[in-house]
Amino acid sequence: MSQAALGEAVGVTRHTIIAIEQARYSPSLETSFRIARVFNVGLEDVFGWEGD
Amino acid sequence: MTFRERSTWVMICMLILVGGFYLKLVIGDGVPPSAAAIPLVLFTVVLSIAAQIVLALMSPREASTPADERERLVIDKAAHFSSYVLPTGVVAGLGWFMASQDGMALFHIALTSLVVGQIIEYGMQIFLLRSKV
Repeated sequence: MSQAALGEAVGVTRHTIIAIEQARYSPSLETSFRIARVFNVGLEDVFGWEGD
Repeated sequence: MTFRERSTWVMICMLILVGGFYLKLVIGDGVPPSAAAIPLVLFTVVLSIAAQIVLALMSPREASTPADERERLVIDKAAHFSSYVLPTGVVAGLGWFMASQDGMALFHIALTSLVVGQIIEYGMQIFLLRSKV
């Protein structure tokens, strides 16, 4: 799936998807759930947090 | 580069050029501010509308798409950061006026604060769009 297609599926721009992939932007909870739902996986399968 | 970033670059360049041209007219050539300010403001408004139309015609789909959550956050953060400039300039101008009774200086300090504040806001938007928000 392309970045543009994923962006369109979850309601953000391709550049926002790029920023998420490059860890330059943390998406909202709603967008995070939408991304996980697109790939039919759980939230923690898509996003991780290493802590401070 | 996104449509919004292109639009912001156009606006920041326009403000710097028009602001610089105004300073050249008023300080360099001695044109009365009342003769220079209104035409330049009108010119800036017309030029910025025309530039936005051209940019929108180049990317009609992107132009008609509303700002997404990241872009809204960038816009809000940039506006917050630049929001200190205009009040600071106006207060400084008011203080200068009380000390000097120079109304034109108050006008120019307020106008400069407005333009510099907008330039800073656009600059912050560009910086935040390219870095971590």
